[in-house]
Amino acid sequence: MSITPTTRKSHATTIAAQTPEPADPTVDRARLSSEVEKAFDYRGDVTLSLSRGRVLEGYVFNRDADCPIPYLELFPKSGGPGVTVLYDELLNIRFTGQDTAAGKSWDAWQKKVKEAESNGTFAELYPETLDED
Amino acid sequence: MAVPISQMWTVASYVLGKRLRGVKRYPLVVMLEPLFRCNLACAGCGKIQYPPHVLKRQLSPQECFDAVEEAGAPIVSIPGGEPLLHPQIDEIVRGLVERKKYIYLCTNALLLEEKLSLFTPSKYLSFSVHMDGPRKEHDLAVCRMGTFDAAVSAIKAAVGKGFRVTTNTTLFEGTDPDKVRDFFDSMMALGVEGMMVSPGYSYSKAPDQEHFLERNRTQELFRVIFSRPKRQWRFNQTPLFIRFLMGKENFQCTPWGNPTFNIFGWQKPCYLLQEGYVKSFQELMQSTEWDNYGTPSRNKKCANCMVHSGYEPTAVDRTFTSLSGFWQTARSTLTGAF
Repeated sequence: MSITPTTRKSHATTIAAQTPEPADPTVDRARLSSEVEKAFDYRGDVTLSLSRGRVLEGYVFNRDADCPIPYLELFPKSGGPGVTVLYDELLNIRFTGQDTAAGKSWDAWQKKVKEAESNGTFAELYPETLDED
Repeated sequence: MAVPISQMWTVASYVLGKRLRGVKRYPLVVMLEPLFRCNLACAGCGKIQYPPHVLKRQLSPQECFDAVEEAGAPIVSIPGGEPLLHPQIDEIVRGLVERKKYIYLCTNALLLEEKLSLFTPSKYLSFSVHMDGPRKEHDLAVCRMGTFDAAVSAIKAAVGKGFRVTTNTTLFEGTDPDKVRDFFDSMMALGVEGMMVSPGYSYSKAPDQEHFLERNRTQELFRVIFSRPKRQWRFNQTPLFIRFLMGKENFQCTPWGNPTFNIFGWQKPCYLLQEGYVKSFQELMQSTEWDNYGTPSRNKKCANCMVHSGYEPTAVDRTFTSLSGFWQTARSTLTGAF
């Protein structure tokens, strides 16, 4: 069962454009749909270029490409409730934020452990600071 | 006995009630993640890798209550992130206790002693303290020195104030079974009500992708650990699940058994995989292609998973709905053998 954005019972999202204009025929929809999947898997912020010259930056936490009116959901970097964006509104996606899952490999951690041991100390990992946004 | 009679009765009557009404798929434990913020950065964890503005978000108490009420499960597990970082965690717990839900508040316990005064001991509330083995192994697993000692101190304080306390242990490749057995002894000596143990899951976003146990290795390890169980060991999980970990039971995953709700919505399909979100529990149950998950589906993401969030609901269902399951459970409870 798929639910279209306009009929969703939403507790956290608003719809970016209530009356989206027809999809731009010059945009490669298949490529964009693939980019949305990458954005959904990406643990950092992206910047969406939308129709009517709008730009939206934030974290893509959901998408449904199989429902009658495909859409994605995003938490804006600026805060506030989640936003629903229809695929037809999308012109481009740029991966502009840091990938928070990158660069934290087991090998990197083990290297840190060994370095610390050779110095007679104990390697530690700390969560990212929340202020460097 | 690790689980209070009232909790067992609640779960048994819930499961039997569902089966008598012909409900094939029902939730047993709601995994309520009120936030993803954490005060640790464990190498095996794939739950906290988000931009800061996402980590600052959290569920409101009302969102928690609405989700729990909609699902209707008798048990609520509150993992995260670190739930004690939520500024309204006491209000969330109080509201769930008022709704007579059995709560497992999962914590690394770094803030537990400081925040104990926010809570009132109740048969409905257990602190499930994350303990990944003896001091050295635990501190290495959570990547922070001194964490084991802080957790032990908090366990003593919570037990001393009359709270229900359990431990939750994740085992990885390279675990020394003898050390785990000694660790079980030391946890029971602290006065915990029971222990939970599970193999880790290889989160796609976790730094450590290499030290998760494959199915055969999991069974070998658990067979050694539980081959000579000690009478003083108590587990806050079903004997059938432990037998499953030992390779003595052939269970299928119940991915809808522990549905997960967090700031993104209801997570499809399970606690460990993030393939999308929906707004309601009903939509989760109706729109998820359940046949695509579990070992019969040959889904690679499910191939080595033996985690309790998928298989404990299967074990609970089998305990209360089959004679052999009930007999095996009774036998293990009476003899202490698995």
